[in-house]
Amino acid sequence: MESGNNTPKHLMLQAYADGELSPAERSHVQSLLVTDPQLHSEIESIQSLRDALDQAGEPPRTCPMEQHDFFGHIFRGLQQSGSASPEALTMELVLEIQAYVDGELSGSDRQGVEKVLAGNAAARTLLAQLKKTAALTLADDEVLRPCPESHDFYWAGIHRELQTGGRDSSSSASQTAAGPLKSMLQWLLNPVVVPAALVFVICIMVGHQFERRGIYQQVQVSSAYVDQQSGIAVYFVDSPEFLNGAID
Amino acid sequence: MSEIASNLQIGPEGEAISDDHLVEQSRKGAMEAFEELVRRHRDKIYARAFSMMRNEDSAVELSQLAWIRAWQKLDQFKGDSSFTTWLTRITINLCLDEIRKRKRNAADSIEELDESGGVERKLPVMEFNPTARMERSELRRKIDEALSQLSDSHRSVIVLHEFEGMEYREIAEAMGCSIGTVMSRLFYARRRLASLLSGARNELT
Repeated sequence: MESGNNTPKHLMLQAYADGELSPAERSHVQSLLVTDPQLHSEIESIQSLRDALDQAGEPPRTCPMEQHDFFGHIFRGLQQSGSASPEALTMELVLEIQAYVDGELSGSDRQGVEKVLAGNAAARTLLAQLKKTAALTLADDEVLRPCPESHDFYWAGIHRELQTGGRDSSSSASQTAAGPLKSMLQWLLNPVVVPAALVFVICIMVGHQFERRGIYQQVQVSSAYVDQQSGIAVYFVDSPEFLNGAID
Repeated sequence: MSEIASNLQIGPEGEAISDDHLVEQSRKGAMEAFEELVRRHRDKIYARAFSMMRNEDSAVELSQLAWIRAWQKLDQFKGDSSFTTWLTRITINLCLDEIRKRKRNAADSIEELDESGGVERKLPVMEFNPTARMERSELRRKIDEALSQLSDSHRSVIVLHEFEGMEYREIAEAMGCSIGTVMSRLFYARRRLASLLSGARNELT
């Protein structure tokens, strides 16, 4: 990682973020920000970092020079392209310092950051802050947080699932896809299904016989019984020819 | 506790039965061996799920699901890491899946605001009071509260990095994002924590 944002333009942005520019210089920066999206995002990064340092309750930056000289340095830098302020902290540098704290940098990158840290008080402040925050966060993992369920209750929930499921759900997608097929197979294996299907087929066949013989006719119903609960109705028919014709 | 289960804690010569042995027995289908593993590591797995989800019910449910997945995938456990490390990774993946699911269902505007620093900027700066000494338990409670206030993705990145010791690259793979995003989330998460703990942090200095 490389921090290449210590350019005069960037330093001017730092001064802008600090509210140290004259009205004329300020309006000049504002016009630049409108036309340059990269500068705009840079000023947001600077502001974010300043906020972070402010909220940490520590001096956001320590300036080794008198205010006047410091900003004089910035503007001299604007005329001499490439010069940099020791106090410049870009978002890139912030993340680089974080990677340093997290042990993510290689040897040469580490040395690069250490060099920056040696000459930049704000960078050192940030380093200390990151270390403290990490230490505090780790303290939370030491909190003993036992499971609120008893072992028996907790295990029962797992055990129930283990009894119904098999080993290796690596093909869980195919299992999901096979779900409807499995349900259908289970439905077909239900002992009620076969007799029900037989009755259904017989009804179709008998109905077909009625239709073929054209024996749909009005018949005299002598009496009827209707079971309200099941909805089944039994009709008693007077004419015996009707039945003879139906079962021929 | 059943006799079988108690026999699985201590061997015939009084030695503690190792996790590896229990895993081996579980692989062969010995459910009582698996139950012993659950008994040993239930709290640890639950605690990790809780640190990710910050909700007891979700943590219980997801940690149970992690055990079920572990049983189902036991043949895939090669022993490159400890059983609990392997199981913890399963738990984390399940938690991340759940977080992704929730994220899809909910508007993400709060998190976006969070990432851009909007929330932090609105927080009042807490004043440092050097005489206010907090008990360690009180300090931990505050840290716990602060972690609960982070967005799911910010908290996840903290948990994976600080608690699990995962590298940026590993976190990026687990969370399905770039290393740059991991770095940025980690920074904003720490920044938010620093802000929330600006009083408490002096206790560790």
